[in-house]
Amino acid sequence: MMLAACGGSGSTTTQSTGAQPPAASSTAQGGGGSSPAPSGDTTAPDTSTSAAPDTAQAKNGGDLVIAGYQEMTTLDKDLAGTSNDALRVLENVLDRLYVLDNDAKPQPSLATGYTLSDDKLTWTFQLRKDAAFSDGKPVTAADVVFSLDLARKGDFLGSLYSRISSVKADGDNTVVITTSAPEPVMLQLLTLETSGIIENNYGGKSKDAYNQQPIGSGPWMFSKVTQGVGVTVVPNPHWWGEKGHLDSITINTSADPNTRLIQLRSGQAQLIETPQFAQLDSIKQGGNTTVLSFPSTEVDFLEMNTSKAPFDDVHFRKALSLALDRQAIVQAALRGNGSPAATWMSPSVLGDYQPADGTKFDLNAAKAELAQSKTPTWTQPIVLQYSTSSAASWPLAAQVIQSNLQALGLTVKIETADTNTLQAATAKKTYDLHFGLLTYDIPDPGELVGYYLATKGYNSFVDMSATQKLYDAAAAEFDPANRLEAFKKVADSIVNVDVSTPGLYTVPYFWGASKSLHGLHIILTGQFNFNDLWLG
Amino acid sequence: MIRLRFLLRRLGQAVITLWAVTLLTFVMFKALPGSVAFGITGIRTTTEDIARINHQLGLDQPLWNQYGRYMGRMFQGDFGSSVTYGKPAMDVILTALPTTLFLAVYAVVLTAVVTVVLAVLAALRRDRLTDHVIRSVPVVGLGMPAFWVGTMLLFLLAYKLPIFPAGGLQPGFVGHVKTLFLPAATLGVLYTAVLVRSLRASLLEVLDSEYVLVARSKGLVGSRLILRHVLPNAILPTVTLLGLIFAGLLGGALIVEAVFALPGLGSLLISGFQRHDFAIVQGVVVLAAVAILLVNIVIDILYSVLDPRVGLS
Repeated sequence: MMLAACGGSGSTTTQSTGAQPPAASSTAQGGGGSSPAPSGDTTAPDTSTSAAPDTAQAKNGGDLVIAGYQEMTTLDKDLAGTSNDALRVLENVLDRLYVLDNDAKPQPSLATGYTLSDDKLTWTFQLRKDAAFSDGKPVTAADVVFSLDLARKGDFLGSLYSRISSVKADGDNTVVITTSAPEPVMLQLLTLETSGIIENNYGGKSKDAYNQQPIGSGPWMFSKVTQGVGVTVVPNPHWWGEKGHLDSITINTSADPNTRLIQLRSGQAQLIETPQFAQLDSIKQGGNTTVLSFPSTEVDFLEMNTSKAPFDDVHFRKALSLALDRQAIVQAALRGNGSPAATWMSPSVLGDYQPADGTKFDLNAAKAELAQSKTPTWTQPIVLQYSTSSAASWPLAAQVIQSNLQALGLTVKIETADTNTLQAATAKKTYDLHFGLLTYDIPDPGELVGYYLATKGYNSFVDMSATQKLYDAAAAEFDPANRLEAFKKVADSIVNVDVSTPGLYTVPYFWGASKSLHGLHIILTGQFNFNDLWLG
Repeated sequence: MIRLRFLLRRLGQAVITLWAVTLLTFVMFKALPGSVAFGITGIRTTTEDIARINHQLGLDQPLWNQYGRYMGRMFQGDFGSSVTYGKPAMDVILTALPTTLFLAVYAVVLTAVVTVVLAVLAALRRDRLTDHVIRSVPVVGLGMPAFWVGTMLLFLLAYKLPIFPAGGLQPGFVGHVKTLFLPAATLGVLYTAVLVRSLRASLLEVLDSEYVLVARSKGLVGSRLILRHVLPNAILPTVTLLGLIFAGLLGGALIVEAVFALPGLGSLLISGFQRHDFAIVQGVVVLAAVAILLVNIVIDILYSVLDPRVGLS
């Protein structure tokens, strides 16, 4: 649930008729969040900073301090997705039936396995018998039922589980989940932090009291939680699996990237989140610090308001997309640390696939498309807006886009506004162009397409009937290979038929780290396993 | 008796002002574009999400109804529940308040000490090199934005010369003194420039007065003259300014808190606005208004204590 305020728009759309509910939450990220994303395709960026396999012998002991950038306002698992740091911690504290491994594949954790009925509507999970919460109480099926019911009823993220019709215990160690329709991404859903298992009925406490310092059955447990400052976790003595190496991990919040950098350089923190692109060289040259990068699912893109001219004409939209020099945008906005993207459907979840011609930069073809549009000579300024708390790359990207479209004879006016103002412009359908940013919570291409359909094309108000049909077929596909091929067709449709949300670029995760830190591996969806980390 | 009447009158005025603050904040917040739902779920928010969450929070009720319910709860000490923190807003605010309070006191004390020392030195060395340096150097602070001063202090005193922690807040009194020194110094750099010039001017005015001339003719010189006869008569405008600075800081030192990663009211206010968390915004604003009103009353009383010629009537 990598998220944060989206710099783009606010959606005012209604659920499209027949649209499948999203498989899981996607999220908008603003302020340059833990940049998820890219992988690869065309222009491989400088990968000199990429994390190499750590072959050194792990040492035990030590206290790790991480400087995050988003305050953990709550540890309520339904709301924690508003902070990447909070969900990372919760996923190490709250065990789940399945968890993602370092290759982003679901693996059994609290569950030992499952059986699926022939009609694909009933999932039966067997639970481990040696699992216990950090206060020593054994984990039972009743805890799982309570926790998953909470997830389903969640005020903000409950819709993710809309296909689940019931969760029931069958004895102490069996849980049966029934769905109203086949759910191909059930295992992925169960890896989310919202699917984290907590004690039945909050262990007898009130919800608020429990969520101050939730008790889980994962490998780590909270030892200290300070509002506005951060949290400290220590190993859970009742964890059934292999123990971690560190004595404690503290995650503090430092919103200012310069402060995080100074904390890393001074040794106050050994790992910092989301350094700015301008800081990467400084960190690499720091002697005892380095930059680690990992593939992510982040894609930054443009939202065009197709409810008004000139974007109501598909030829105009195609012309605009063809006029974008995405490689130049990557160089300017990301200092080369990214790749051009055809769509917000990350290549990372599409088997490195990019729709044909989606990243094509061809000014002559753009002019030809423009000539075919209803407005071949559009003279009014096109307003490109982004949030003042936007991704750090957007201001420079906006300038390159402005220059690109000028070559097409179009005038672009760049404006900044606060997120709420942008959302209002979206609601009133008065905007021209907005930036958008999306990341995946589960490594399945269907997730963000569900939201695309539910929000009328991420507020572009485009006719998505062709994409809808392709999605309906793809979303029901259980076979991984067939599912992937089906979603490639969805991506093609979004890029070549809808043409309302052209991709700009993908961005990897960047972290600044002390060279004394080992074992960090950021999973495609942004989390990492605290047990992998060690200092030495 | 006069002081009691004064106090009651000012408290009465304060209650009316507070009511106006709640109404104004409520109206302005409602006029803001955006929605709570979008603040939580961002770009994937649907109209159904917005409608559902608005209904849950009672935001689909008429405005007068919402305001009435809000005021009713506030009179019972309930500022509502924060949608981003998932608990009562006042709990969140009261947790952040001590950090802001400590920082405000620290900054004002640091500023006051530096101001008095520099202003007295400048006044006693009028028109000499010391005076010129003291008058001109602090002005540089006025031209530097807080985030830059803060970052530079962090770079110099937390990294190059690792004397202080690089942001964050350590627990306990000693931890607070250590971690809040640089933020307080940052604020001090910004405020000292104004205060030194103001206090120096007042000191010179008093030093030129007849009663000081008489005191000098009687052989009263040095620190006794300054501390007992000059400073108390010159410091009233500075006390007023320090009081206003202190009251302003109680609403949160927004930029400094962000640079130094401090969990104070300023950080709360920013995130409250960004996420459309009305309960947090209203709570912080009301608290800041109460602080400003109380500090103003205290300043007025302090005036009469420092200078008995100033009446409260």
